[in-house]
Amino acid sequence: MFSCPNCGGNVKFDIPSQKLLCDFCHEHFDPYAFEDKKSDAEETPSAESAFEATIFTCPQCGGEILSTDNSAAEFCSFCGASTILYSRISHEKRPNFIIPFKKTKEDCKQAYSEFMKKAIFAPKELKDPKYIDGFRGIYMPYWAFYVTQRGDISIPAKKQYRRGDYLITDHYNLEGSLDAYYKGLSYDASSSFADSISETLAPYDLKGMKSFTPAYLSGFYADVADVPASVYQQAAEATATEESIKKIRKQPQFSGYAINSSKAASLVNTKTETIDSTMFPVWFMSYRKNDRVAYVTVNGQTCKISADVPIDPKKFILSSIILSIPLFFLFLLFTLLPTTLVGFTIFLAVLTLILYASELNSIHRKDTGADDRGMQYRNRLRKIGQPLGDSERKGTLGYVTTISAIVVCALVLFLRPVSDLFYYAAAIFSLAAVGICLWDLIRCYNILSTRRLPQFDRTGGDDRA
Amino acid sequence: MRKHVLISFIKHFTAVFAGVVCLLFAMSADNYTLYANSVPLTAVFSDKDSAASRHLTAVSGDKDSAASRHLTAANSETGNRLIIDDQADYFSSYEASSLQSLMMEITEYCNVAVVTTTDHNCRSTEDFAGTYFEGCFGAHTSGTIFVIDRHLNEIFLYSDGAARKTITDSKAYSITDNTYIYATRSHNYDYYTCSYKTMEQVLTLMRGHRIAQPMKYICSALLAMIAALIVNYLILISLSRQKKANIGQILSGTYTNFQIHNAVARFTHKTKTYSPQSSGGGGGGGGGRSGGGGGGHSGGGGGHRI
Repeated sequence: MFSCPNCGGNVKFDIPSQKLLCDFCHEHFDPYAFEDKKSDAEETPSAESAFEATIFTCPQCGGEILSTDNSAAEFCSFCGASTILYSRISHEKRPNFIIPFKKTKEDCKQAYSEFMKKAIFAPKELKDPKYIDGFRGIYMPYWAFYVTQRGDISIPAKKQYRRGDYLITDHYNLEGSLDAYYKGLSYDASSSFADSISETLAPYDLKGMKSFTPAYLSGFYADVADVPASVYQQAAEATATEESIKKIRKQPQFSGYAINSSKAASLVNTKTETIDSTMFPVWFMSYRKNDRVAYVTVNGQTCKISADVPIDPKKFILSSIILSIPLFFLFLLFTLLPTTLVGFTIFLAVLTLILYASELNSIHRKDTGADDRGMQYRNRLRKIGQPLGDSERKGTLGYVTTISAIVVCALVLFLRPVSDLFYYAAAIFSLAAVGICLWDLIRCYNILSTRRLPQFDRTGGDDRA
Repeated sequence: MRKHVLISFIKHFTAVFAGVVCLLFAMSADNYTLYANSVPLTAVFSDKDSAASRHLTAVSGDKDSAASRHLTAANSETGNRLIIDDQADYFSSYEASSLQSLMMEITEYCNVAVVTTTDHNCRSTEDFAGTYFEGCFGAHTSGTIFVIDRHLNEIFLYSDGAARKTITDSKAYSITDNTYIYATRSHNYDYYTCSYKTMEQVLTLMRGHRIAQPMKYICSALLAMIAALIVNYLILISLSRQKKANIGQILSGTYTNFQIHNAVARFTHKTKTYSPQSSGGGGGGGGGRSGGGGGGHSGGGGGHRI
């Protein structure tokens, strides 16, 4: 905790002024002015490379956040549990840089309210001002890569044209002295912070980055980096390579030449010069329902939002009923025969089935972290296999009913019974099947728009607790 | 909680379905009484018979025979004709007579025919109806023809000319859907009632009244419900997709530099591959069949399997 040099009161980072502000005498201070004095709890022998902080650990999920304040944290941002978090003093590795919060909590709440206006099916709890007030400013750890491509290059390229019955290929070497760098390619360093969230929150303007000083954390929390930079190094280098090859192609001297990208990638001398640990500002809020948790994250620099928005089935059904009224009158304009009806229900059932399969696949990928390098790393570390997604346990009902409906409808169309009742019965069965499938799809959607309760290995914990 | 929501869904669904059904009944209440009542047809026929006969001049007498019955008549005021061609011998003399009385009233608006058949060479009942119509009344003449086709097991109501504006294809499908049931085994193949009810509904339309179209409403309601659920879900997905930053946006926040000094494309060698160009495809196939299956009919209508 940082104390005011004038009155001894608490000083916290004030976003509008970008300085530390005393709660009592309202005096502003330069954050770097506390660099030498240290906070009350920060006097450590290795202050150059580490800083002292209070680590709060959730007893339920094991998630950890750190703060320079030592007042008790009352809920866990990661699993949404309302509980007193264990705290301990720790010496944390000092990040190189930090992007201080630029957007206040009020800005963040306003941006979120605007965002939620479009979320017409969202549960009303997500729009509740009490809930919205739960935004917590957290600095997320990121790795910022400085990747260079320097030196002479010679990339094979060709031009092809036809002469009679022959294809003529002229081979060239595209030569030159390349001088390129990409400084600030950033990837989140926390396994609790899914890659999909950081990719949506991006971009951060790294030109607003400042040298780290613990005073910036005053009044905020910070997540702990637990994914090493090596996990993302290849991705950073690939991004730089891809971008440079794109630019090489656009060079006026090289226009019109066909370049083999994979061959060129190994010839541009891509090299990671430095990797900086940084902290980026995020307004964070979690919404827990049963064994799932939804995250709302807001970029603390730009107010860009990444939110898991589950839907309220009641709202969805009600709006579907309202929508069916104009559709009913629209269909009245057409000549709909019982055979057309059954044919159309087959089409809609197939469409539902495709949506269903696609959503189940997405849930599975999300739950197993198939697209999340940080989570994959954590799973490897814990030596666990891919956890079973909920989809694998509960995906049968939608498939069985919808496929049965398609078969029944196809059978009715094939047999062409005289009585319309058969067609109506098939269509009603199909409607029921599509209804059940969509019901399950909504459940899937809610799974997809939320996350499994995190279970960190930092101190153990039970994700079903 | 999930159970509660499910119950709520079922309640909503039932309420809307009941609402739609009520709406259907309300929209066609007058016509439902027509189908629901079981007033002896004789009473109706005798009444209408006397009224209609005032305007009619017999053109051709009753050709009653063991095999078929063929009745024709013309309305002296409008010039419209009626034809009952019972090739399949489904109607008794009395039935044909009562049917004729009803059809006489339709002749005030257009030509009308009822044809039964068990054997023909046409590809479809619609084709048969169209050919028969044009043979009797001529193409584009205002009229309607109802065919009971036991060769292809279908009934078909075909209309042409001005009559088709009233008896649209959609209406024709609705009428045949309302009456096909009489021509099935469940009603002991009551072709007379099927024809009579069909003509009754044609007359209702000609008089500018509405007919019940339960098929249309049921089909539309069911489809609307399924489609609404799916459309709503697609709307939901499109609204909830969150855009990830593209590479251009990400790089805009970083420090980047890209320069190539002394850029030059240096020629190394040339390769040649034999690759003959295609010769522009083979010659055309033999001539196809000239002509075709004959022209279609100018009219149209709707039918139902029986």
